[in-house]
Amino acid sequence: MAETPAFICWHLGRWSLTAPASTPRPVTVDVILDQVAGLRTVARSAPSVAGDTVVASSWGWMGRIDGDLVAVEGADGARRSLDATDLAIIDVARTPIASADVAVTIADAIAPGDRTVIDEMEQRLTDLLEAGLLTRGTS
Amino acid sequence: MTPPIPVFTPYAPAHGPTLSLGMLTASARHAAGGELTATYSIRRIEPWPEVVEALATVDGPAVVLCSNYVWNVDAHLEWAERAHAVNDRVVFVHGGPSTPGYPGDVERFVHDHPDTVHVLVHGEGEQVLVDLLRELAPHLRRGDGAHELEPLPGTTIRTIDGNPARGPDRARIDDLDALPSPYLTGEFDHLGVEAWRGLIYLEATRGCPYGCTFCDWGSSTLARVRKFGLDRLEAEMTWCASHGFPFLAFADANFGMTARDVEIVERLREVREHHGLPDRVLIAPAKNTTRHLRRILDVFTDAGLSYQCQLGIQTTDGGTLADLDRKNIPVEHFVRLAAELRRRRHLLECDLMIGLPGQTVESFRRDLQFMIDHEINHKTWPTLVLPNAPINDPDYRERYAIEVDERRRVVATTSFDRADHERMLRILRVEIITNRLGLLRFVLRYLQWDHGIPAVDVLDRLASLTEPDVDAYPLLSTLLSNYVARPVPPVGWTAVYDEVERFVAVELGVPATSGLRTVLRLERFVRAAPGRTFPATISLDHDVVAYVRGALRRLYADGRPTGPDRPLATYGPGTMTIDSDPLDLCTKGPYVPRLATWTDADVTAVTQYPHELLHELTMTYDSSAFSGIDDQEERRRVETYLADIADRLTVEAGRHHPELVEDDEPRSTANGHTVAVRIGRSAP
Repeated sequence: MAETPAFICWHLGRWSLTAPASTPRPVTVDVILDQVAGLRTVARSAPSVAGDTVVASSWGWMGRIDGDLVAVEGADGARRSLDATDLAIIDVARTPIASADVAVTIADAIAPGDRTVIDEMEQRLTDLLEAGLLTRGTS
Repeated sequence: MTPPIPVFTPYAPAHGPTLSLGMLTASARHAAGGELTATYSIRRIEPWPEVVEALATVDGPAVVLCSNYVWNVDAHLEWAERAHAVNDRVVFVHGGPSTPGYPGDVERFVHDHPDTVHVLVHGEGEQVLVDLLRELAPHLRRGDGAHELEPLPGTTIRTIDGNPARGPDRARIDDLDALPSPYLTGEFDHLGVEAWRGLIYLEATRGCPYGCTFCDWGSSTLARVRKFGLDRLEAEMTWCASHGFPFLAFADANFGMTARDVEIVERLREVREHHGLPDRVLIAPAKNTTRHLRRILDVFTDAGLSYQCQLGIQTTDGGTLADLDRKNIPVEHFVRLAAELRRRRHLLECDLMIGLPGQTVESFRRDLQFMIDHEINHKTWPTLVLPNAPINDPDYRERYAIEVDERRRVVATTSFDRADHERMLRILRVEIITNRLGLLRFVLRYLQWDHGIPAVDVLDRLASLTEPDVDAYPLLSTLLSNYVARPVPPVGWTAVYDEVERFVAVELGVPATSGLRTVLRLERFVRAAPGRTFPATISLDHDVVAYVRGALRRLYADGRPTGPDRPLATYGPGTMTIDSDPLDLCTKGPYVPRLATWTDADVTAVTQYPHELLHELTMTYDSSAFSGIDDQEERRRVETYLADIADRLTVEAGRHHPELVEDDEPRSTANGHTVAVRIGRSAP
């Protein structure tokens, strides 16, 4: 059976890797980020979410490592692509967090010194909220 | 003055106290006017850690009573080793259904545990214990153990040379009311509801007239059914209610076998009216008569009691039943009962078993198909070789060439080999995910009804996805191997059902017609996913709601599955509305607990957890019970979750197919809501 993890799973605040006909293997977020380190960055164009919006990760989804992106469906059934920054956001938002704090929390881990990541953060959050991968939470 | 010899009756913290322990301590304490209390200090039942701690301070002999069941015997033996380490003068007495009785097993049990098995009690233990303690006292006072004892009737003694010496069999206890009630004599007064995890057992009868070979009930209690008195039972039910127990279970093998059981539940209703408890009740109904079951369930419903009632069918295969020495209710009778209970809005659940002597892959497939055809929620349990069940008789094991795994699960017999067993398990796992958890429920029915492909054939094909198929159907393969542990779709539901469409076309030869596409869209629509909001309505090319209701109509009338009268494609457009998400599946996710592995509860218990949004064709799940969860914290989470679900779902139970039955007066449910319960008329 396939040995290479083909799927990244987020379920109830925990990450795992899995493949067809395999059982899921729990891993840390660092392993996940290593797994997707080579993926290209997904540009965002959605309107920005307000800085005081509190976001929280949804309970679960499973994305397929598909070429140089992670493919997953949003709540509307449309296919979306995730990159390493998205995954880091989802990990940080395991506990509700104000959107203005998300970039500060993850920037160093994902792209030290890269202002574009921070600049587009609020657009990313809008995307992830629309996809149902984040929900509006209460702090 | 010589200090009394302490007698400990421990329970493993992971499993909690049992009724049997209190029966033992009550009998010992009150025998012959309390005669034994002059010699012994008979302690209330207590958890093992406290017993070990106390034993460390005992300067002298002590007695420890272990009541062994399949779920706790290993824990008892492990704790007994710790107890022996702190006090090597303890005499360990083992009884209960999982204390071996067959020759060979007894020798192994004694030899394998030289420090922690001194006396074995076979059969009912209360009166044996009294005699044993009486005989044992002088030996303990002299500083001897139990090895000098003459084996009493109903016991085996470890002799001085380390071998077992067995006494004659002991007659059953004829007058059960001669046994003091542990509830009414204060044996359990020191334990709160929390210690019991809310569930407490009562015995209305003992014994089982059947000798099903996989079960130790008939053999361990010597078959003839004996009864505890009604007034005593009522007093015990009152004790349970007044002490705050919400969940009461009857430990009877065949509840509802006699009219007296109707009277018992009538009294239970009165208890509930006076005390507001219990809320829930669990029974194991009679195996080959359902004469009184309908009235019993009516009383539960009228009283606002949630109930769990699982009919132990085990298999519908006549040949297998003969090999098991078992007689079920006739299938026709069962089918009519199912229809009647369905009309009366009662939940009907059935137990199947996997690994039965005489079973084949084909007979197991037929059992699954039967349950799907009749829309009966079922649980499938592994066949265990219980120590005192006839299946463990050496002659029987040899005749059926029974092979077991390390957990004593039957994995091969003369009728199936290990590969067949694996195949049955694979089919079962696929059935759980696709049918009971519902991921392909409408697809399976559509393929069967409109294309003549039995649902179990589809399950079998999915279960036999092999390595080349994995590449062809990566999402299906991932879903089936991951869903129980991680109930999320790979990529998403749209992608999964696109792949199902391809699977159906390639593997089953069914093209993607408008009928198939309609049910696939419906499956996608009814799946929980983050971010969804309700109510939500979908427009469909064909009216699936009318199609499914039409197909199931006869199940409400005479119980016979007939399927729809015409294909889905002939139905005009329709809509389906999801009213709400009462279980918060879209915001919290379906919940699948972590399960222990002492049985195949990891395979079966997930079926008890609702995974559905609320719509016109929602199946009603029982959510009142769980099993196989050893972890205390996990159990508490599950209990909280299930209590929440039970509260929310009761109001919805039986809301489906309202047009098929007559109106009756509304009845209140356990959670205070009111639903229109409809009784009577056959389907139009």
